[in-house]
Amino acid sequence: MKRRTRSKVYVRFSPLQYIGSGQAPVIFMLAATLLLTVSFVRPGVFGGIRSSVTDMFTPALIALSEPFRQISVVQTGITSLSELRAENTQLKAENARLKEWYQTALMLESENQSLHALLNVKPDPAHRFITARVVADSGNAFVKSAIVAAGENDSVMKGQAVLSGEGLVGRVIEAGQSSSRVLLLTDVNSRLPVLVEGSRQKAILAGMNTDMPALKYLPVDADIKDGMRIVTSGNGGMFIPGLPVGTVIVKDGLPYVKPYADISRLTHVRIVDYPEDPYLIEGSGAPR
Amino acid sequence: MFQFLPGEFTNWAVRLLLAQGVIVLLLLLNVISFYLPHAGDFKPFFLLMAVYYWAIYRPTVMPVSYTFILGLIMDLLSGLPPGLNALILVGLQTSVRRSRLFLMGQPYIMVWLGFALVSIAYGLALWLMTSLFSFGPASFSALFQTLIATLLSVFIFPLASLMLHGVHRILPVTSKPLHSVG
Repeated sequence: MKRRTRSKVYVRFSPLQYIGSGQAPVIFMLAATLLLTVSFVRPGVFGGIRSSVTDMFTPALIALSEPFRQISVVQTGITSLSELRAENTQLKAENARLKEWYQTALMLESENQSLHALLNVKPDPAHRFITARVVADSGNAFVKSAIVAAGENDSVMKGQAVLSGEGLVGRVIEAGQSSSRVLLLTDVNSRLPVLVEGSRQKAILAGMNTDMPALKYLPVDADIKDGMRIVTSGNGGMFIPGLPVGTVIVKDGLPYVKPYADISRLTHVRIVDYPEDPYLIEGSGAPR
Repeated sequence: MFQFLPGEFTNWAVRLLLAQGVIVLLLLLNVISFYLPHAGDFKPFFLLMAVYYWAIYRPTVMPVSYTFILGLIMDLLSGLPPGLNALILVGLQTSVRRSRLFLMGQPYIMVWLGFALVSIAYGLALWLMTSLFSFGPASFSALFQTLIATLLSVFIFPLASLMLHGVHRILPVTSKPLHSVG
């Protein structure tokens, strides 16, 4: 007699299989919504993860942005002979003018030093610069930030001022081991204490996500004109006082600032290694 | 009977890794600095191109979990609130997958048009969500910049799809590393 064989049915259950069967999008979208809600309520909570992920990707970012940097170098290097001649004449004139200024500066410096000595002024704490390459931008219209290839290993710290050759660019908001994030002064969340040179009027430089940040919290009767120089005020111990920021441009009766630095196109920046609160620095003679 | 063939396995792995490498490359292109004026503001949505292409032609190359992680990495690198790109990309990927059979049978111009719609949806969703976080006069300039980025993405898509098509052609037919013999 032939034995009847029963067909066996194996049922295997695994939660991963279930997720993969069409529920996955819903689950992942819920997870993303949860993350978004957390970052809405506590915006700073992901700072640590953000800087470690940035650290992890920095070598790749450096390698990948290098060809683009080379192209940019070549592109700015290509100029015609006539342009070079014109530039040369302009530079010669500028050099002659600067030579005169150099003499004036030397005279003023010595005068300043002797006056400081007379008045017994406490000198500002010394600072140095850390030069770093910009490897990434935010890549969207909503956040104006940049990643630079220098971190805590290079003594970059949160809160330090970031300059380009021409003027202030922004400040460090996150510092990882080998990379850090710079919030540009054009970002909508950027607020910097500044000073209108000449009138000594204090104001706040507020980013607008456009090329020109606005000058806010000025008194109604403040006399602000086109072309006035804006420098950092050093209020709150945030930055060194007197870092160049830009010039005033009045549009529709409202004061805006055109930054000296070309913030839309950064290749290298200088980070000012300056203690965040100068009043906490001990005077000379204290043990180090 | 299954037999493990090292040569075949390496071949299979390299080809699959190439596809993943191209996706990561597109993600990094979204973040790196081009050193051109305003390149950061008007940057095309490179990662979206990969998400769209694979959602139509080979969904197994980009599982939802993978898209989620890539979106999250992009959020972390670009300074956006974490989960924003992850949410929008997973959502768009799912809706493209629903209509993939329709899109696969269409001429290329329709696929391109589909991408245009998807990138408009992506740009608007990104703008709406970030405006929820901070709404102000700056939101309008951001909307304008996003629209330009959307236009650029639509113009660049044929190039990216050409590259992805090249990768698609050398992808292994099977997603299993073991070669069946006998």
